[in-house]
Amino acid sequence: MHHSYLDKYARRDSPMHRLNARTKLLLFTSLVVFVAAVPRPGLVVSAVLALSVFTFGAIAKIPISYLIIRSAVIIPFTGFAVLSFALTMTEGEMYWQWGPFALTSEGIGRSAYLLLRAWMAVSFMILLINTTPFNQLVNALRCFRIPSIFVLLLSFFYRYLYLLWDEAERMQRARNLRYFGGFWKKQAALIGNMVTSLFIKSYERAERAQLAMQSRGWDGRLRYARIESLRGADIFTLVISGAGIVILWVIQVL
Amino acid sequence: MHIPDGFLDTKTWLGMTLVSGGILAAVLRRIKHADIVRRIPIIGMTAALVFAAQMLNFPVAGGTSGHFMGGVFCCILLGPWTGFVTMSLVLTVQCLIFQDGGLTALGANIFNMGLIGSVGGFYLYGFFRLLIWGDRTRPAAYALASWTSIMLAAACAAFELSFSNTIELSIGMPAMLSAHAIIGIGEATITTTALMAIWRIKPEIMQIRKF
Repeated sequence: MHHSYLDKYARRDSPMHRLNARTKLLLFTSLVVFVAAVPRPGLVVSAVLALSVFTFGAIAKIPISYLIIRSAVIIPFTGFAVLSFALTMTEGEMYWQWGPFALTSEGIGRSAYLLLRAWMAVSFMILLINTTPFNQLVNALRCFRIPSIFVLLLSFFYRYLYLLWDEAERMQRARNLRYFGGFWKKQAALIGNMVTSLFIKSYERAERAQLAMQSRGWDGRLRYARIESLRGADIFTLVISGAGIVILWVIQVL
Repeated sequence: MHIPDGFLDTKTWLGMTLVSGGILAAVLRRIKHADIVRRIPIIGMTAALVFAAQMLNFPVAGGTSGHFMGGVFCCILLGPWTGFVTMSLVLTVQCLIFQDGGLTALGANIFNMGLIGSVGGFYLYGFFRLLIWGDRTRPAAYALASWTSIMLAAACAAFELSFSNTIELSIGMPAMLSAHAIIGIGEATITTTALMAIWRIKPEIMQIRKF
């Protein structure tokens, strides 16, 4: 998977993309928080949330297949947890049992909820990053009282991220050409050598960058683009989605 | 061991977010008055390096693969608290761009891997160096500290998951520890090889002032 795949749709044009970055950050963050805060969403709430993933995707013109494939990132951790969870619950109606393992209605139900929650939260995050370019996201973070030094470091980090990523990929390709496998401990040591060479290169690059910045008279602050003010569409979206979340919460509690 | 959203209950993720956010804010306030202009490029670059190094997978038994965490690596090179900020940056970007680790679980992930796994690992390294003094014990201290840091981070994650009633401690703890005991060997090998090589090639990097 190449890195351009990660936010492939971030710079398209759609009503969703045209919204202010602050609106989208607030909207998707509150949706994720809602998903994480409701312990066991009812059928109506789950259906509305799952539907909203696809609705936002459709408005932003992001293909459903892309959303599904990208959300596979949760499989390693979630799959492991859900499996161990589904196989070890003993409450509820028993379907199958073997030694310490058992498949029960309660176990299946709770692991399905867990999977659903993890999937919905990750889908909202994928929608956020695919409708908001990262520089706008960083700019929006400044409005939410994130320490300015952290935002500064974040944008500096992002600037060099893809450069070093490409370099690491090139080194890996070169290694694969020279080396076709072998004892895995040896492979780990090889990665150690690659990390060394990457670190020394990037240390020297950081020294050069710092000297260049200081000789240009950098005083420790970054100048950002002015933050755009909220427009009618932003306020409309915020009011509608805020009301929607409150209604969902009321349905859940009742 | 990046915990996704939905695995921690509200009291756990809210508590962990407050703890990690508070520590991070305190550390950032201290760095601000120190030499910010001088250190920003190297912090950003090391964070990008750790992120890139995490792309390099190595095979672990059973067809799965593990990757480098790099907590002890950047704490030893940059100093414990700068290393903590670096790891927090990496985890934040992994959560935002890569969706590796959830947004609500970010506080817990920063606590596990940034604080316990990195700063904790750094002080463990200091402790191991105290036990047997001299340059000959460097590789052993690096390896022990990075392996233990992975185990500690995994144990923390298992505690958080059981505290949220997601996975029981009696199931989660052995599963997390046994998986990470193997990943930890890879981490220890990579950290030791890389740090020893840096120490051999450019010893002046290891002697810069750290905080």
